[in-house]
Amino acid sequence: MLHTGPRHPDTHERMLEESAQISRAQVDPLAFAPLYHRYVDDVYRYCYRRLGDAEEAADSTSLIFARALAALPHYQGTGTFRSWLFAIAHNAVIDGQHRVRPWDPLEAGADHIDPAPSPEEVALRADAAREVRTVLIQLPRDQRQVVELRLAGLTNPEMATILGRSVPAIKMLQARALIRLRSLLDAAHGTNVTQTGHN
Amino acid sequence: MTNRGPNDQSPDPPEHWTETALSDAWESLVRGNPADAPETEAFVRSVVEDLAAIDHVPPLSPVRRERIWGDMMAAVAVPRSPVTIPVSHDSSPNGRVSIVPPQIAPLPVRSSRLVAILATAALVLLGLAVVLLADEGIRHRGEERGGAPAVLPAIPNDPVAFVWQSRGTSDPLQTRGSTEAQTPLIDPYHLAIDPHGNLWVPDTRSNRFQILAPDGTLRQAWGSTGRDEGEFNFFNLALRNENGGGAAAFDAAGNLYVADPGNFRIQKFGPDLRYLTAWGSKGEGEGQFLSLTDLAIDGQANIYALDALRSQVQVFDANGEFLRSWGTRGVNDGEFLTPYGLAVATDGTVVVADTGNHRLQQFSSEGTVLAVWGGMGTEAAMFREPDDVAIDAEGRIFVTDTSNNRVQILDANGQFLAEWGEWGSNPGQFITPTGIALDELGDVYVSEAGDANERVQKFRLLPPLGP
Repeated sequence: MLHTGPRHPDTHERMLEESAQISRAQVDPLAFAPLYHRYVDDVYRYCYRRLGDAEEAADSTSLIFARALAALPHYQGTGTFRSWLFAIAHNAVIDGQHRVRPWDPLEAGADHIDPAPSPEEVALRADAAREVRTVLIQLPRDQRQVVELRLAGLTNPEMATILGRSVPAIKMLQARALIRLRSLLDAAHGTNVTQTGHN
Repeated sequence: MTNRGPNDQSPDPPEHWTETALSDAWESLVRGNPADAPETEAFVRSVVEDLAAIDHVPPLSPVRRERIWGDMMAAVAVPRSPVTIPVSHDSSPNGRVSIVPPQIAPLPVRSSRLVAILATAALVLLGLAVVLLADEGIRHRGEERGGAPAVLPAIPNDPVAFVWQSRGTSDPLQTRGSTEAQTPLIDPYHLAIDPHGNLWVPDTRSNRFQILAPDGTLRQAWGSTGRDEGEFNFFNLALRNENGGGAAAFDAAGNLYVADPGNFRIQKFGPDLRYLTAWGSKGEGEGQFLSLTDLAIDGQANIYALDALRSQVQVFDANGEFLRSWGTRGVNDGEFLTPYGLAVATDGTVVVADTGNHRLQQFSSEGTVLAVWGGMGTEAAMFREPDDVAIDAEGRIFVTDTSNNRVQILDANGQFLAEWGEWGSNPGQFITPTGIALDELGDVYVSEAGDANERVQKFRLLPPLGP
């Protein structure tokens, strides 16, 4: 008996449903709505972690979905839709960073604070947001990219597709990032850190 | 050793952690599954929870969410007429797909950046449509010449011409003992060419081979899941089946040897695919395996078996008798880090893709190190996770430079000759190319495993490298 089922049985039904939604959306833009609502928050949060500013993240989210809808007719179902969408997001954020802020994005983030909240809220929000980014930007770039995609919920094969790396390479980056993050998180809280290594 | 984190309970990394175990534990947490090792899980959980505690993302407001949607709809408001553009012959059941050309309406809103992006996207899509039409045109012209494949470079200045690609088939196939509908290729891994020039593609998830004729048509699917004679389990401990598994090789007499990593054995079949023998078991002794990733055969019908987790080459005679071995885990010459592929040249030298060390190593047939080439990098003759090698009659070495998404060709002395490929899904592009094989005519076959392209491409060398 051959086993030809899905790689992740728990998501097989969802993937089938999603596949049908994609097919409909390829000929009818309005049918893109369920896909948009399923992923818009994930994409926005991913952008926010990369950019550190709510308005910038929302702008990028808008660009990413516009680009995705325009390209959707050519989506052929290789890889998951999520990996395809986040590949667009990954490239769009990189494009945006190169265009808007070639310097340290952490420092640049302070110049783009959402004007709507009160100054106190702004300060608190910026401090809080910069905490996680303060940790992440201390990772090597490839490790940081993997962690950001992992926080967005992507799987190893999906990350491999987006970053153009092999799955073993993704695993290696994650493992090294975890070790490094432990030290960084401890250091950020002023605790005694003992460096641990391997390989 | 004491590590104290923000919750004063952050544990140390497990004493004997591995990259795979840590990564798998994170994936298990995401999926809500228990990890294999509690110590590893506790460490990963501590990092993830501490990270989550400072991961404050302000919510996207409902107003902004609707505005993004409105912008999208405004951008595609112009009525569009669908056209049908042929695509690769094997990418859908009927070989065609409807594609709507992007006609973007002027934006009623603020973002000039959005306009620029959409215009760029439109140009890209238009270019893609042209490429697809040209590709189909090439194929048709080839068929008009009597079915011979077209020989034109997929990308200008490439050293090869794209001939065809295959993602397997969704059609019902007659496999041994089964007539059920089969899926297309999933994780096609290390390739082999039989004496008739057919391409044997390990269809990892189905534990079978899809056998393709030189023109890309499917001849047969062969094999099934199990532990008995003639059954396979391509699950590979080193790869966790997330990037392929399974490999095969033919000797000069046409006997077939199959790496059966999940059953920790090598199986041998006659030219008529009749089961002959098998050897191997799980372990680290002579004739034992932990993670078979590749096979190669020399002119004396000796079988070279590569074990990634043992970082070792073992050599057997044609009956499975252990002859010798070499290699251990490490970074020095003659040592390996999770090597995935190997090949034997006509002069008997052996080249190993030392994947984790991002290099190739050349050995004598006895295991003496002759040369070490490469290192991690994107330049010529440098590699990132090279997965497989093949050697032609002139001693030229073809390498799937997996994480660089390209194939490189080196001469017999390790000097760079040519390369092709870039990240992508079009002909001549790759996403994590894994397996590579050469047929007697010198044509090159490349597989791509790992959830992205899931296909095999055939290329023909162009002058001056080719005939």
